Amino acid sequence: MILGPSVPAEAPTHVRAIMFATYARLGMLFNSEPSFGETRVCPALGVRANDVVVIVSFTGMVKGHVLLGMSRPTACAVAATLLMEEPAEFDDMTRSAVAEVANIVAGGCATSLHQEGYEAAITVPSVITGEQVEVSWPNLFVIETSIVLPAGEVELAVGLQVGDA
Amino acid sequence: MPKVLIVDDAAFMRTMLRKVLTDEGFECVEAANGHEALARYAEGRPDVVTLDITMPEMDGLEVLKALRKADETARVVMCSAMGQETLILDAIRAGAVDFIVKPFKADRVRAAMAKAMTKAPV
Repeated sequence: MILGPSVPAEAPTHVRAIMFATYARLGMLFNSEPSFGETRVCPALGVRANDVVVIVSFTGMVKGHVLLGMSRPTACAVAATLLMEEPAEFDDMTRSAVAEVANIVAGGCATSLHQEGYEAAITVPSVITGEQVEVSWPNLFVIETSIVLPAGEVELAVGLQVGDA
Repeated sequence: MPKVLIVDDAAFMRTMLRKVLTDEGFECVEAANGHEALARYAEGRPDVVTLDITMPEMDGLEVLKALRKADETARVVMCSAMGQETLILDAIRAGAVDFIVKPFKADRVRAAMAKAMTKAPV
């Protein structure tokens, strides 16, 4: 684990912007610098995303998705940390909290993309629960990494395609 | 007691804002989407509205314009995860008093509410 994102040299500018925006937004949200694992480029591969998956999509010049994956206990810990309460059972408030974390990360990404000249808007988050959910984004440039937050470890995957507005 | 209408599709975010605003002495009313926000506003005429942008059905900018059309004195503070300059300018031009980018600190919310409360009705 290292402080800050490790971005592969072959990663496009907009991917780099997204990784650093994620780092900044999570740092602000949890009031603590997140640690990033190795960043892997995995075109067309399924992203193993654990038991709770949140996806926010981009529309506009940049099309694609940001995914956060985590275990149910980590999702509960994320909600508890942000609400400054004791961890509770996985419930609708937990879903709402992890959805908002993804929304904030994706919002930061959209803002950074704008600064790089790419206009993008974000969709409302989708929360998917299951067991070791796998998500595939064929035809997208996909990178994934793990991030250690005060509430536990989460998987981050970003799949993007840069097109016309 | 001043009243604030918190508009956000995320229950978690409404809870976070409610905690800060209740401590500041506001009576809080909540709405989970734009249509509900317009109905709640018409019912209770809150002193201030906090308004998310990325929401299903109506987005926050549409809600802002509808609120200001219904009541040109409506005092609205936008609260969004997106912080593009163009978006902020669009919101200010449409009549928003302030624009908070999530994640927010309590002090930033307090400052925005103070600004909204001291703004004279148009």
